[in-house]
Amino acid sequence: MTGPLVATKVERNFGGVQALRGLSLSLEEGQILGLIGPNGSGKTTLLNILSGSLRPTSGTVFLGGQRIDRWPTSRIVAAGISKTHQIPRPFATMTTLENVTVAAMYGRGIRRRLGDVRAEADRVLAMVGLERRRAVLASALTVQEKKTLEFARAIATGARFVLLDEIFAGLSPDELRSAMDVFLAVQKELGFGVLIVEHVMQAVLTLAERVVVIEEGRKIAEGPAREIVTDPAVIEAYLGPEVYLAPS
Amino acid sequence: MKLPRLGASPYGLGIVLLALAGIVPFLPLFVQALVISLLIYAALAYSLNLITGLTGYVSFGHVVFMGSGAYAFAYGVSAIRFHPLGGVALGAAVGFVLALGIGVVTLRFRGVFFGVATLVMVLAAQNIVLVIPALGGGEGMPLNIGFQPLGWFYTILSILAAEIALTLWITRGRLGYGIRAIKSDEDAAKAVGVDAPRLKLLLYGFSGMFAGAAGGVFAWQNSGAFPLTNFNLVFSLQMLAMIVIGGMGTLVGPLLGAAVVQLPSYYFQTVAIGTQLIFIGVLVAIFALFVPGGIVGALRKYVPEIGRYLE
Repeated sequence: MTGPLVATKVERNFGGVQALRGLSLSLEEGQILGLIGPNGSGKTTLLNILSGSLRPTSGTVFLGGQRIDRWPTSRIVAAGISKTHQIPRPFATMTTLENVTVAAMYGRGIRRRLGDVRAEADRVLAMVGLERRRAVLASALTVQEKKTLEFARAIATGARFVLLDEIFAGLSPDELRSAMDVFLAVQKELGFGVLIVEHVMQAVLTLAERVVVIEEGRKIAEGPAREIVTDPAVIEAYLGPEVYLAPS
Repeated sequence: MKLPRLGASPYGLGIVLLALAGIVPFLPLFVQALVISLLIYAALAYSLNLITGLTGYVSFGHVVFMGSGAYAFAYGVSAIRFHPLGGVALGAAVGFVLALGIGVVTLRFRGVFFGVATLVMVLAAQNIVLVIPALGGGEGMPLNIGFQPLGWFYTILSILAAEIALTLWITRGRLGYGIRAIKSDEDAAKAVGVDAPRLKLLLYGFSGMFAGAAGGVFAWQNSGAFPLTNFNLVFSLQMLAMIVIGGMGTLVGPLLGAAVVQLPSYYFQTVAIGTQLIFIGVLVAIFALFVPGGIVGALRKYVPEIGRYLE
């Protein structure tokens, strides 16, 4: 057990723009937490801070009692947090298997035998259903396969917390269903905690036990998925304030 | 005896180097000199290949490590009374330490910014050397150590063999995965746990070390170290030309590139005087525009019967 991932009063400014204004959330291992909010509300910024590719202007991030918000990305990955990219960023000049091998090799911060690492990468590819594409250059994969590869790399690092940035966006209804099935099966088997940023409501409501809603860098609601979607504050954030029409 | 299965390229290179080691002592002096300068250039090309070829960080500053190696050699041999081999080792050590120190700062920049930072380094280094009295200022450090072509030859041959072995070990092993990931997408590599700053610095250190060693042999061959010769930006550009023409990041490319760039130099020094840089410039432009993979890339693409044996 790694212990919870806890962000406390995280703020982040980009020049004069306050992307995050004192956001707190916590995630237990094995739990699936949804993170939703309108465009520009700070979701991706939060993921970047949790995964170490950005540093907070103020506030802290703790992983199992250790403060990690000043650590370099590679150390955070080794400690057990990994992230997928909103727009897939495969290593285009490497094969699918090699892509996952890099993650399996470097993700744990320990030296392991190349043979073991390759076997591990093959296991991960089989789990996510990419094994038939293992020898193909990553640049030749379809968009959905590239997204799956992002997920495969993230779990191949041995992560105890996986941060998913819109991994279900842009899929057809059939693709979405099969992608969600794969995700749930893998998550159940490996038992990592998930923070899932998603615009596809169907995915968030089906997968997440709890949902955090943010707007303009602040948390405006948190609770079970079904209750969140009927929360007036959430509806207002997405659709704007209620409009009263003058009786005709 | 059972030979390890390394593939055609390493064995081919090994045979070429062994053949040279056996034949060169019996060749006329003129040809020996030609081979020695070819090998010095090849050693420089492999050193640049370690950082620019493998990671994509284009360094214009490699002549600084070469020049520092030359000065370390001259200083070691004259002031500390080292054996020339000790001088070359000192050159390698200075190149290594200097590359680590410079790399800590410059490797934070990417793309064109890294290129500019390394370019500025060359101008700074030359001016620094000019004002240090212990290094001879504008006069440089002439040495009186005699003419030892076979000493130069076997030293640079060993350096080259070590570079090729290191390149092979790095690209084939665990490190190779991380380095290819960095070259492909550095941020994505970090996101799966690759400690990119450390890997880059390690490569840069080795790269500087070999450039320093080659610079030491160069100073040995030239009987001294001189500011305008040893910190001449043209060396950096020739190193880049060699790996662009031969094939960046490949195992045999730098040697092929060195042959193309260096072998015609006698023709340019005797017949078509002063046109060598024009020739190299045009060649690099053609390769950069039409043959981005260099000779190795082109052979792989158009002559797969040969190309598939080339790494």
